[in-house]
Amino acid sequence: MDEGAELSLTIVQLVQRLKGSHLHAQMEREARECLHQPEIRLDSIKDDVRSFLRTSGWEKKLQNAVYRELQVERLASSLTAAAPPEHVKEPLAYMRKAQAGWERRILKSLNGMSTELGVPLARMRTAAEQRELSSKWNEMGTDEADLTGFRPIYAAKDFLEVVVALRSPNHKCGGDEEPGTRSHWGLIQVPLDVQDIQQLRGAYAELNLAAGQLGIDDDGHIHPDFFERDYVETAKKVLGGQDSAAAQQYSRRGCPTGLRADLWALILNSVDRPQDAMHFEQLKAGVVQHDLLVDHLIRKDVKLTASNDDYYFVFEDFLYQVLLCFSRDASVLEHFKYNSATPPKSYIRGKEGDEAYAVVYPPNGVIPFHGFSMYAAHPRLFQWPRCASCTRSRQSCTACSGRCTPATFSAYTLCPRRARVSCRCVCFWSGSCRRTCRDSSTTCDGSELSRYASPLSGCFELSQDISAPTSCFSFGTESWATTPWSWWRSWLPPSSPFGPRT
Amino acid sequence: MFRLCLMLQWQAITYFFFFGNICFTMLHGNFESKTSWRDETTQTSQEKLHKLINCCRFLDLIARATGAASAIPTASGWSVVVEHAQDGGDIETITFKNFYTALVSVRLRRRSPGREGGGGEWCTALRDRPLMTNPHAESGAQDYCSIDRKQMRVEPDDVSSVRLVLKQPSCAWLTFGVEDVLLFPRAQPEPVGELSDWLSALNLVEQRLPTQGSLDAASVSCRLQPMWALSEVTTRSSRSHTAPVGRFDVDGSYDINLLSLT
Repeated sequence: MDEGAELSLTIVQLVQRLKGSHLHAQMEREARECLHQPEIRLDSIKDDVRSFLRTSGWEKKLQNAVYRELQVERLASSLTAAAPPEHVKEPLAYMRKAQAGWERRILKSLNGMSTELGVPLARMRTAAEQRELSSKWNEMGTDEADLTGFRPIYAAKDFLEVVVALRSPNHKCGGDEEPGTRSHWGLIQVPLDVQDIQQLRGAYAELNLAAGQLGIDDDGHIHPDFFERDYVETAKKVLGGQDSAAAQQYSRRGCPTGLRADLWALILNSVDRPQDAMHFEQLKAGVVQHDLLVDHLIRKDVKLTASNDDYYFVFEDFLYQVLLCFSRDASVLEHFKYNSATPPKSYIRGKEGDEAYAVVYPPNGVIPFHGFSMYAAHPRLFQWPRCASCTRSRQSCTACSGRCTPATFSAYTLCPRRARVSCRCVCFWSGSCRRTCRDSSTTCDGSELSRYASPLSGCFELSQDISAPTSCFSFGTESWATTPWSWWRSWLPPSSPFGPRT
Repeated sequence: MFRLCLMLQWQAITYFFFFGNICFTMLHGNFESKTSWRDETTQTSQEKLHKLINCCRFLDLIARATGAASAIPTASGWSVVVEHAQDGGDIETITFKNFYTALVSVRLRRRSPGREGGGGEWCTALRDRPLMTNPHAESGAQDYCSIDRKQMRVEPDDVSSVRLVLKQPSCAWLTFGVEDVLLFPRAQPEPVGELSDWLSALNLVEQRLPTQGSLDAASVSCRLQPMWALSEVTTRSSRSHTAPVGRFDVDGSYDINLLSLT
């Protein structure tokens, strides 16, 4: 398919996506109302309406919406009509097989846990339980439920084992267990096309040692005039412009803590709308009505990770609200259309095999893993002075849905596309042998690879052009000190600011 | 020999190296006899034959290494897939599923007009189209590909045979090729056939209607525009009704059994 045809197809897909959206309705209404204005002439109505939308800021909102749609990886039409649907999502047969095996393993683990503990996957709460949960909605952290029997379904280390075990059957060293002359360096033995060191240097030029970065150059012993003050002023200008692309470009060198929430909301084009409030209430009702096994997994994960963290323990209740509602959000299932993953399926009791009674479990199709709650916690996105308010929860949930979805899929899907875990692991491991980091004394072994292959640190969705997510966020000085790469920061944020290079 | 030399043109280093080696072998032969080239005219026929055999063996190794002997399956090099078109028809599209082929060329055998009999002449329609961005990596290795007639250098008309020349310079793969090769003929315009009786009757009825002057394009468009807008609104509203409302249960029930593993 030539570039012109591909561009036309992309435009058609974007128009279909945006048509019928709230933004489309709003712009139509504004365009209709502007007809009453005297400067709109009949003979040049089209140009005048366009000019009005441009000057009134609606063009900017449309640009942000288009930019957001482009950030999410969509299915391009198959090159030929002969390509089956599963091939369009994942062209390599052995990757599809490995992905199916990985998913089957997760489902077996979840089924086994349900059977062992005698806890049903889903049940309707009693009226008393629903009242109790509704009354304790803002203080779910005080619930001392017994979670000792619950364990994470899988962690980053388990997924790393799967990635390491990947073998291309047609590769000459694909079937060899012992390293040979054709083996790749490092743990990953799949011949994926990743950027080399020179390309990475060009792609992430903003992270070079000569450029100032938040989290490093705003340290206490460095005078703010050198970098921090001007950089914060630039952030305010970016927020004033309300341009998603500019916000993403700005964030490449870090976000000021106090402006991080607004910047990420702008990047994700996440706005607080009345229909979002209704949607959130619907999700909340779903949490109150049904008790799912994954709810216990989420609580366990929050207890194990965020609650034990010095920075995020104060947001425990907030995280429960966001993640439980997120698990009920069926709109997340839309992202399975362009991802090689398959949502877990079950049937209503007594109607096994009847597709009319098939349901997805959990409703959003995402089974939480160890560290999943940190998706919502990082990178201090919800560190507001007044947290756990209803409005913030809703906004957080919307942002979480928009951010977590591509990141979550990237977390536990096997795909050779550049932005995926497999490529990031290859990129990391090949690069660790040619360190350009500040701290060259840091050793690099499988444990660090496990860390950076973890869903949280390495698996946030980006454009197709780049092979690794990078960010200027730093979790803390301790994580920076152990980072072998200058740009492999801990807890890389989702929907990385790095988009395709122009 | 000529074909082998043509093949070596795109392996410049190999050609240069082996050619130099061949010259050394032919001219020097025995390392101990450094002045043998001066005494070439005095060499015995047996020595000349021995050198020629060595040269042929060396060239045979080159041929095998570079895949010239297409009958021998190779992990890298090139291979040829021949597909026969149907009775010399016109081709619209060639589709196939790639399997680790890096480059593909298309050669067509077209029947010459006015020339009866014979298969026709071979010509190159597409040369070295990349199927994999990196021959050593997996990208594009198992993609479905299509070659349209607009992408070909020559018109694929009256084609009796199609030859796909596949190349894979990387030695990282066990095998390479293409699968499910399909040739789609060019669509012919539908012949105008006779109308059925009821269509003919309809036409007669339309002809009997009195025409009230010529149609005004502007008035027609004015009438059509509201209808179009109405259809758009109807489509939008129907789409909104069918939009999912976000419920995950079935008739209020979410009481499920274990997860399905299939």
